[in-house]
Amino acid sequence: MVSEEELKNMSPEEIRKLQEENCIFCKIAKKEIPAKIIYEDELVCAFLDIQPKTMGHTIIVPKKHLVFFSQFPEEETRHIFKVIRDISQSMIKALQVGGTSIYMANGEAAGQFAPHAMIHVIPRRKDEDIPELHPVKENYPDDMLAKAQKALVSRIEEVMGVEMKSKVISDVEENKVQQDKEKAPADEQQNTVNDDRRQTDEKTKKEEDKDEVEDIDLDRISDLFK
Amino acid sequence: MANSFKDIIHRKKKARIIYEDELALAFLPEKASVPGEITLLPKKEYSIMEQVPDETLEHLSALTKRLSDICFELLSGQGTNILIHNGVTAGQEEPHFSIRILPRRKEDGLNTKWSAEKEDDKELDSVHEILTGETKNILVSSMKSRHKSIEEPPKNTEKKIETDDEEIDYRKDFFKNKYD
Repeated sequence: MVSEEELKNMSPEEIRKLQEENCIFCKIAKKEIPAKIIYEDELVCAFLDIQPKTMGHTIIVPKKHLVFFSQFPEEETRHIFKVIRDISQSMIKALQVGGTSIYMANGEAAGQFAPHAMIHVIPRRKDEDIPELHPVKENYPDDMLAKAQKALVSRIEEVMGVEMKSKVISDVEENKVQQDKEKAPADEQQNTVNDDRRQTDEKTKKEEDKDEVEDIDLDRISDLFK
Repeated sequence: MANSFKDIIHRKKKARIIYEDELALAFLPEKASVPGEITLLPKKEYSIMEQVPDETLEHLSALTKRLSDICFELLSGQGTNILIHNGVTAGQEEPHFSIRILPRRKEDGLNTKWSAEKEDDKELDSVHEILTGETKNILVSSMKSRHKSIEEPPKNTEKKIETDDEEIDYRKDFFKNKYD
């Protein structure tokens, strides 16, 4: 065991190493702790959860000691979704389930409980409800979405080095949609009647929605996107 | 089943889109569990994850990570959930594969932690055996070529999204015949 005093004098690298040495999921991947492994390759390891939500509940972990999704190297990121897909397919075939739910928590606020990133693949059968995987949805007002959109788009442009604003923001403005319709080729004009009808429907729907969204604390929500 | 994602992709339905390229589109759904929730989807219509080909899935996973990182930053690092429902019994709502990215805050009132169910060891053993057998069929046999691609990536998978122009050009070439 390491004393508190020793811990204080450790460099971040040493602490990282210590965490890695004590990580249960690293130990499973290294086969130092037994687990019911159903698949592994040089990047990932998939094994049955010992506290399964449904029968066949599987956890996929990167073999490297990575705590958050944001630390995943390109290789792991691109590989892991394919493994998820194929494990999900294996479940559907072998366990005869109608579907699967895939869940990942990043950060304590999101419900992450272990210092090692993991993805849950949960077989879903008809009569097994998991309300925790279906958080209640509510309608958010469009001006709030617009704010979020603006903040996200400018960050996406910055991080990914792409031009997105002109492509997506102007599209949703009513005038632009109208203009586009005028420009649209003949085959698309056929849809105009339907579009108009839908727009009217949407308008009535929006008016209905207004009552529902009044309860939301707008300031609190918009704070999120400063 | 109506596919409202398709209408969003074809701009027949208004949506707050935040990202779009040749293969994928991300938008903010009106009906969401947390403010700022993102739906990411392939533009081509795949009902479930199993139908999504490697190239598209790799692209989507890279995008999921980017978008999750961005949510993290905008919320000063409190957290994100990645959620996929595959199939009607899993509660999938649209007949179009999609990935949900939920920005999380400690006080947002959402509870995604489930309580474990008791399972007996014998059953766990039998499921282990069945699943290992199936992953051998589905993953291990096909992973040989994939393993190679991890060690020495062929030219087309080597490309990363950092070089967006190149990536888009490449995607355009690749999907020339598959789209439009």
